[in-house]
Amino acid sequence: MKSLLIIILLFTQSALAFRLNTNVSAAFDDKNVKILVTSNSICSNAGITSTELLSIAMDGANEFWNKVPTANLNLERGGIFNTSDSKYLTEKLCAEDSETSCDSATTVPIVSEIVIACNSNATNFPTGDYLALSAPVKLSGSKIKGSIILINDSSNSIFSTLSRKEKVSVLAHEIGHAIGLGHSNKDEALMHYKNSDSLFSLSQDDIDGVTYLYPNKLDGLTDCSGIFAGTINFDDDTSPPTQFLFSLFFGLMLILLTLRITKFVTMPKIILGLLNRF
Amino acid sequence: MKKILIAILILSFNGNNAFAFGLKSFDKLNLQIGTWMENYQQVQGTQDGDKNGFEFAPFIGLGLEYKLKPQYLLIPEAGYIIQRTSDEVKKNQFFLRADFAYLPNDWLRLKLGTSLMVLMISGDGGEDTLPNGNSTEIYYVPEERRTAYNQTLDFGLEIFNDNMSARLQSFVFAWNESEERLISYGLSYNYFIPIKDFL
Repeated sequence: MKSLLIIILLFTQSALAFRLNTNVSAAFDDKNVKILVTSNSICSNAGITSTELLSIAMDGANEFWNKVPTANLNLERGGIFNTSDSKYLTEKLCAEDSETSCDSATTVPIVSEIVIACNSNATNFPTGDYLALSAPVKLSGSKIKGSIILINDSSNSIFSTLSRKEKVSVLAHEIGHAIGLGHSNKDEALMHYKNSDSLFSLSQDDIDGVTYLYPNKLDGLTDCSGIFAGTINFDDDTSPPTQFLFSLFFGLMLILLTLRITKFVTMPKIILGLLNRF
Repeated sequence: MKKILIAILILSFNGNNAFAFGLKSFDKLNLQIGTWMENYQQVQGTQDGDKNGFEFAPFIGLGLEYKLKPQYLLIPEAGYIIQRTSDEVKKNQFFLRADFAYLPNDWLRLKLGTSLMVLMISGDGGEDTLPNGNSTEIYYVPEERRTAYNQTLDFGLEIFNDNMSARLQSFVFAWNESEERLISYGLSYNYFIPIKDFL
């Protein structure tokens, strides 16, 4: 028994490999982040309309990033972003943490939230097999204020040849960059550098990455809803989970009270009744 | 709210009723060793589309059994899933939980409970160069510790043999959100020590 315990204590497992997009672990500071598509994204070479692009991006958000119970992130449909600024379509993307300064006259504009556009700039997309590009373009300390996702709309773009499922995973991958994740060396990960048409969900590595950037916290339980609602949040990461402990204790007291009232008569019947249903 | 709690406390601790707390009702201490199966068969496991398989992630735990009635137990527990690490990123997970157990016979226990899951992911910082398109790009290793808290709804089945048991416990994350819901499992070997042995 003792040696088994020692072996287990010494055991460590290789599990994580996610990386981040910025050196300050930047993430959006609001859990609700909108996804928008520029109205002037015609995307003729990428073979997609702005409405379809938004629909595919939202599928990517909902099928992947909005499904993580340990992360406090909710990607929302923001709609069409009305603009006539052609720089979204033609200019170079300049990430906020770029080592060289960006000339606003020759770069894609700085945005809030996550904005998607079709773009044909040769610096962004030197060859047609570059599918898309994404980076945070507006930071405030370690907070992301805005990110851009560009779809390759150059004349030799192969984006249009992808299946819808592949487009969804490409957009989901770029959204991963937009929310602060870098590439992963786990080949099953959505954030792996190679696209796959067999992705049906995030991998554990992606889940750990988004949990790191957007950790679910414990939040007001003044109505003890946490005991009954499943997930709870605190505003302050450093706070001890006293409210949870309070609600846990309160819940246990309720169980005791219930048992006292029912005098243990109905409880076995309830449990056995539930078992019989299965 | 406080008045309700006080009323419940008074009712629960009432010394004249059969369910009052008492030190003698603390029956056994249990030691657990097992494996944690995180989101088993629910997330992407391979690039080809297979779901994630079994990975050995050992955990240890300690529980205290409080006998409410011969067939009913209240079992607070604490546990730690041994650190998982790769390169510069580490993952530590603790849980604080409580189960209500029903004993239909002397070899089986059915359990319903809730857990506070404390997940800490940390890193040593630094840079990593990874492929990006036809070239490479620098990405960054996490450099601080961040903690996620979740509350889970737990169901368990435990089979006994003398002072030992095998337990399968499910931990349902976001049980009221069908889109987000993920279930992790704990498979453990448990050893029971009567409290009276300590007294």
